[in-house]
Amino acid sequence: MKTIAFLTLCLLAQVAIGQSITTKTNHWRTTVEMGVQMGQVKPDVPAGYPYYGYDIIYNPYYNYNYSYYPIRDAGNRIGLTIHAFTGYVVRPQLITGISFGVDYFNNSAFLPIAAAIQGDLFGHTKRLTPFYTLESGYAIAGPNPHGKELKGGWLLSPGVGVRINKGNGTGFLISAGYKHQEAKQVASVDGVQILAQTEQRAYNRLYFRMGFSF
Amino acid sequence: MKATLLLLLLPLFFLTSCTDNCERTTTYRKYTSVQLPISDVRQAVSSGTPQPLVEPGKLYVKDQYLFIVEIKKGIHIFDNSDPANPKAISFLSIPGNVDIAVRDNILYADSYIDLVALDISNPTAIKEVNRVETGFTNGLVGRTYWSYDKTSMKIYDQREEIATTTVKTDCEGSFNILPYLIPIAWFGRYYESLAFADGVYNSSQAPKTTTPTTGVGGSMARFAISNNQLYVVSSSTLQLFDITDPAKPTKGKSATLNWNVETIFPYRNSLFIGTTTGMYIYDVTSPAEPKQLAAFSHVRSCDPVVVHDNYAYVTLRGTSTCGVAGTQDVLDVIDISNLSAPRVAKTYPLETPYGLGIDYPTLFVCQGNKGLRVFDASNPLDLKPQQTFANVNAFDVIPISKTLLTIGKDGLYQYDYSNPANLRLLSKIAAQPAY
Repeated sequence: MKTIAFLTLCLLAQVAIGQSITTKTNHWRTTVEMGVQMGQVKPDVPAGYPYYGYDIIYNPYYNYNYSYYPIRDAGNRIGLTIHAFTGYVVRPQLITGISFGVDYFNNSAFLPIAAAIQGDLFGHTKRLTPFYTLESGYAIAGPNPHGKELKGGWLLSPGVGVRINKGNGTGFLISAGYKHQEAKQVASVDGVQILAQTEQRAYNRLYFRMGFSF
Repeated sequence: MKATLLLLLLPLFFLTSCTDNCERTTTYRKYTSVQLPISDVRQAVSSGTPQPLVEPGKLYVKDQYLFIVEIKKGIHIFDNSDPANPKAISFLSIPGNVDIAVRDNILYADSYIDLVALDISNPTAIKEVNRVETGFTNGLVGRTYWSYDKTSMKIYDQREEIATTTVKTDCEGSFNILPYLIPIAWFGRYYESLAFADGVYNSSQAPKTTTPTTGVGGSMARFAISNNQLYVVSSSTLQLFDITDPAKPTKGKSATLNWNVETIFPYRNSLFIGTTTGMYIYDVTSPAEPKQLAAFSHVRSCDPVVVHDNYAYVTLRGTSTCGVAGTQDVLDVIDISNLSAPRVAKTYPLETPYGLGIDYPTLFVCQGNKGLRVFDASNPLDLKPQQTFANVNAFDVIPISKTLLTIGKDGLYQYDYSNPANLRLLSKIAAQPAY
């Protein structure tokens, strides 16, 4: 994944040397993209009562402890991501605005709302224009298996892309980048044997998106 | 600018990996097995410097002294001559102690398999005067279980502590297996985290008898003194000790009880025994020969019973698995004018009731985390709520000569109830619970 991203970046640099095209000035830019985000996870661990010092599950009905077999493999995870951005064009290299969307991590959905900046990378607006994006914000936890227990967190997402300008202020986008999302799950506990359980999550993903700008 | 910007972006790809980083922190109760040679246990009774309250258990009042049990560790002794300013005098270390009872100047305390008689004529210098085996060889105290092995002469016990562990997970969160009832089964018995206090007070009727307000979920031994007998109850046995000579308790008869006994409350010539399946009434007119009078299975008595005249006041908690889950939390008033045939006279719904105390016409009911409630019980069939203290955590109460002692997870509160409609807080001895 990292290699692909790097190669894309190199390709963008080469493409930057190219044709130029004139465009109308527009003070607002809106982009809508959709794509995938990919990452890796560590192995699943049992969520049993840590009785006698190690994680095993206590069965209250039969009064014995049994081993837990992980049901999820460690490895790659892939999810959908939808992203929308709207901002004010200060200059072609700097467009500030907000972004929102939907991200799917493992089995949870998050709704990020972030302050974002975008802009053309090399200053010239040509037919194929590389651009960068940078956003930081907060994601609200969406539908997920734990319901209200999951709380959202901070989001950071830098990225680069290339825009194919169509001439009347619209364009087709391809972008890739990195997404760091934090979240917290406060698990429900019985309060007698387990008194509190919280999980601090930090998702790290690489995303590839395609969309339109207008 | 453009080139530098590009260069800035590049390292970001390689600085952090694409692996999720998730960590789960769990706080739980951890149990470690401990072994105590019985010789060490027997030597350990000693009086020392006062200690802070951690897990307060049974409470006993004698004259101006307060005895508060520290579960399985010993007894805190306070001088309560000024209820607004109770003074800690000492801490009696008694391993395995759960319950106490006092007759004249002798305090009886259990210590695993023993019943220890202590001379408290001078509470600042308490001495052990006698020790007798109860005949019990195991016990369930709260969530921990102890047993005695005769061949190796050792007590096998469990130490409970709060521990925290952190593991790295796969970020999908955990689904804890919660038992279908809120409290969990532990060694075959159900236990709730909060049920743990008791209260005993000296009856104002006869100076020699002590009348405890009963109640406690969790502790194994139950002590009650009536006439010249000390009644000690384990989960299935009633053991009598003759204490005509208080310093020399003599083991007497024992009766097998077929139920899980939780509480014992002597009143006049009767013994009210609360079990997980009902309340049993024993006649103790001849104190050494208890005779079963009645079994009242309507009452699931994990919680206290207090008796006054012809009425017994019992609290039942629906969430408690001492009874049947799903039953409503109530305060029952039972007509016991005919001891062989008790019947429920009135039921009052009441949230999470625990211990109670009565100083006619005022009835005090503890409601755990919901606080303390005061009733006007001049007409038991029409209890009128007078005051509610919501900020107190209350398990049990002892009303004694216009001072109300309330024990709960956060400590001991003392109120002046000379005006029952307006209780006044006198003092608080704070407990420092582990969690």
